[in-house]
Amino acid sequence: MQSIYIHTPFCAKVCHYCDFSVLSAPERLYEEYLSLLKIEMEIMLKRYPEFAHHTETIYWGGGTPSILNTQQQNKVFDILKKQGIYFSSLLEFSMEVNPESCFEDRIENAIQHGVNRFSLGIQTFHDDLLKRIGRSHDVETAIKALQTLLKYNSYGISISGDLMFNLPGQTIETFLSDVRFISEQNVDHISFYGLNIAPMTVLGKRIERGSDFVDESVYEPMYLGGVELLSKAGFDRYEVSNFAKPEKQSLHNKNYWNGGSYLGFGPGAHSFVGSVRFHAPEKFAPWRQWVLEGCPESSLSLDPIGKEERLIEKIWLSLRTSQGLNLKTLELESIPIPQEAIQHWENQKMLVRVGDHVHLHGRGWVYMDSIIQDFLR
Amino acid sequence: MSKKHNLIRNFSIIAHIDHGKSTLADRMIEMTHTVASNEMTNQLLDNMDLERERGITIKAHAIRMVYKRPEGEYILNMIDTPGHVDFSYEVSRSLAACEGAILVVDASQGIEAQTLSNLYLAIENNLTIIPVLNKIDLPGANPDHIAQLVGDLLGYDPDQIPRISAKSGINIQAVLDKIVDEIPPPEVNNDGPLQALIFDSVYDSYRGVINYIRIVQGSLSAGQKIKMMKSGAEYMVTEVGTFSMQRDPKPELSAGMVGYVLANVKTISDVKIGDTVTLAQNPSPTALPGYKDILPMIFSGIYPINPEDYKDLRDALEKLKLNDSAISWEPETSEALGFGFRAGFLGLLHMEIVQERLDREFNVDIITTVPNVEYHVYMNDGSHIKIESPSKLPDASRYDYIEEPYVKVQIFTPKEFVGAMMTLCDEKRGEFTTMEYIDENKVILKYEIPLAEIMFDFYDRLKSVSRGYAGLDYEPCGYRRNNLVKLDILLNGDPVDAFSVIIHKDKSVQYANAICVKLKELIPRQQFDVAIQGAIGGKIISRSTVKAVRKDVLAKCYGGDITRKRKLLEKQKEGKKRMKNIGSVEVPQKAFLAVLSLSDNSSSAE
Ligand SMILES: Nc1nc2c(ncn2[C@@H]2O[C@H](COP(=O)(O)OP(=O)(O)OP(=O)(O)O)[C@@H](O)[C@H]2O)c(=O)[nH]1
Ligand code: SF4
Ligand SMILES: [Mg+2]
Repeated sequence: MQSIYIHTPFCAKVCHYCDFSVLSAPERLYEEYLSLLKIEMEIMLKRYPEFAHHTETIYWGGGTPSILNTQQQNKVFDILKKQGIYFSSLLEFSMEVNPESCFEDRIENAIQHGVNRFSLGIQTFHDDLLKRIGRSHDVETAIKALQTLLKYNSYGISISGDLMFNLPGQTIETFLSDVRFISEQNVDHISFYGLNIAPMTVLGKRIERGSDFVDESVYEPMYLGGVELLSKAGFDRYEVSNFAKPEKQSLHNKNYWNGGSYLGFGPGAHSFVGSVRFHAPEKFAPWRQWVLEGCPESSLSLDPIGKEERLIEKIWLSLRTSQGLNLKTLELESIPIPQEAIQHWENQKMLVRVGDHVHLHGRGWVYMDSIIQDFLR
Repeated sequence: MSKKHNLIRNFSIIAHIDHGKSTLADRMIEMTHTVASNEMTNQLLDNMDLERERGITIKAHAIRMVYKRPEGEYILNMIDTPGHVDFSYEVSRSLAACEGAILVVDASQGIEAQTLSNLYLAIENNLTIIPVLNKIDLPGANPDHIAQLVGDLLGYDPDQIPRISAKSGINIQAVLDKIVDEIPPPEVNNDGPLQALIFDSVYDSYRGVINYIRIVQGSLSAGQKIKMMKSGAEYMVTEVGTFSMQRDPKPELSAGMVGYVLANVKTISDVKIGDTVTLAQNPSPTALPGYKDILPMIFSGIYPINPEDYKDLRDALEKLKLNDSAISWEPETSEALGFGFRAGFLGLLHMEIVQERLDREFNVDIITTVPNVEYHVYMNDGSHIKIESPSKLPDASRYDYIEEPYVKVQIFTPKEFVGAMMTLCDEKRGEFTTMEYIDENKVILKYEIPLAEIMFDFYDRLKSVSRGYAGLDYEPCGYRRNNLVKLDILLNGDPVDAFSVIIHKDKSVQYANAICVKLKELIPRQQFDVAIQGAIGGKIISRSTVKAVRKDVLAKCYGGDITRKRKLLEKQKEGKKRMKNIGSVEVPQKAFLAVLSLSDNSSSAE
């Protein structure tokens, strides 16, 4: 499958835990960004025409894509159209939305141009926690945004509510109440990710100084509790942090995990074409320069995927999913099956083997990386 | 015939570590135009990666040089030897192939521990000794004073000792001339049946075992059938030659010559260093004396990380032994580590080098366990056993007492550090014997110390207390009874045999505390708490805990950024390679040698 990713690097304000390359920038930069994006798309789609003709999913992420108003949105849609990408032929077109910029006109305009899935960055339904992690919205705004989106539910628009857990100050009960609440709305997709503390962020520094604190010991009960609630509510875990009603899994994400190709646009956007992964310069200024130079391939950092890399990715990405890893894949590459490791994790009830497949189980999802490591030896 | 051999000189260069042997070798190689000048590098003969990285010689290296004088062209077979005490076996083997030795002495440091020990080896071998004072370019050099001391030691006229600088190439010709004038040519007999001494060998995957030989009697050429006298194996010779830097094929090697022989030898066990090569048709009735077997000083377990690599490890050890005859081993099993070997080494540096070479040259991932000495255990029934591994110690109720090996230690130190040295030796359970003056500034302190105590950090401590000026030498001096106990280390309640040590009772608590703290640092956090305990005879004397990790999940792979996370996984995977599962606990390779990096001021556990 072929996919396109569009990155919009702007946010109302940079959250305290954020280590993506995003900026809270004056609006005039948006216009410049859009004209550069146009140039980049024209060049790259000419270079890789198969993406203009056979793309099946688009993911518009950020940053905050919903920060752009309808006119600005239209510039993006126009470029896509000019390049021959017809929305009617897309299986999925997702857009990330943040509560503070989830305006009805923007949503409606996006839907008119083919967006059929929204992913709303709620994170938590508790104002004190939102403040503590420096989000730009409050609970009231988040609930309003959710209601705005849910209006389109009956038109076949998919909605994902995105939460976070293991936040500083968050108790098991507050998190589980968030999960319960979102699962009772009419969303058909939910994700929750454990907070990852990056050292070079406001929160990272605060924790290092000792003026804030994350209690890792609640990670497991939060995660396992959340999974259980969602399963009872009819949401199926199809990947470690992604849950969906039947038929509502995100195809775009699945394409990443299945090793499919994708072409990314915007600063720092990642691509995987042929057997090479690459990405554009991450910061805005170098990206601008790169685009103005004609997107020279020579100045990209390339990551060629050989047999070994492909196998590592296969093992890792498969084990992240509920389907798990097909051991036949190892056999086909004449890699010995790590029987000892499988046994070890089976004994601990963290891994289950069914026929040719192994998949994570119970607490195994909390120790995913340790288990993956054992398959890579 | 005999005239030709008057033109051969066989000699070794010997000295204390770092006194400049390899640098002097460089200068002689240059002056004799043995190597093209554009191929010249510093310490040219130190051609192993490990030697270059560490800046020391590990193996003896032989090279053939041609030195022209008006009366003729002399063939100088030179062997550069290592100076470190662990490698003195290399020195003694080299000396056995020579008629002379150059004893290099650093003109500022003077006579040091291995200056003496290597000199005595040369005297034992009846060699002609040429002393040389090196590094006269250094501001601290005191050649006249040192010449006097060296002259007294050897009975050599101090005025006749060449004062040189190997580094800046001063007075090198004097050394070459002395080699020709003072070292006798080899006594040779070209007529008797072939006797050639194998003094070194190396395994080459294309050509099989390459044997380095010195022809003592007779001659050898390609097409002849040779016989190894110890193993009786016979082979057809495909090539003989001498070595400058590369192998240099020759039609024939005759008596007195040093060179190599290729015979497509693929069965490693057919070759023994020190064995005599003779001709299958007209064999020599007697073999050459060869080399004394050398006794290992310390022992440690060597285990493959992956059990499937057991056979590869054995092959690697066999091939390595061709090139390092001082290693010995026998099979051993450990409950914790599975099938492996108990190997004997000449010292800690030797052990480290073997471990590195197995990894680099043979690509086997291994775990080595805490080294120990050999103990004598006296059983209740009056019998006694020798154990090379603490895990073999019988239950305490079955034996009466344990004896441990002692060494006679000579510490060479400037006078001002005598006090500090004595404190160190006391701490190491040493017993003072005597003190002698070399000159007004430098003394030799003699002690008897348990070998186990000098094995680990003694040398480093000695160097640091004396700001690098002190050195030492030691030799075994028998066994003594002491209050020794076995200390077990338990992980989550299960003793791990590979961690057990035998230790003096008085030091056991301090050691147990230190090791528990160290292991806590080294064992990564796992999905459960790991309790580390030190115990003597079932009684816990120390403990620490590695707290459980509460989660291990990579963050989101956002926007298709797969490269970054994969690279992270690849990095972690490299770390995991060196982990071993002990029960359900993952233990990194370096934990097994934790004891080597214990700090002196061992803090208390938990
Ligand atoms: N200033 C000065 N330094 C020298 C001289 N000869 C050797 N060195 C230095 O002394 C150090 C040791 O020299 P090596 O030739 O490696 O000594 P070595 O005796 O072969 O050492 P091992 O083989 O490890 O025992 C090096 O840094 C040399 O550059 C000299 O004549 N003058
Ligand atoms: S909204 Fe997302 S991208 Fe923007 S600053 Fe917050 S975490 Fe970063
Ligand atoms: Mg040297």
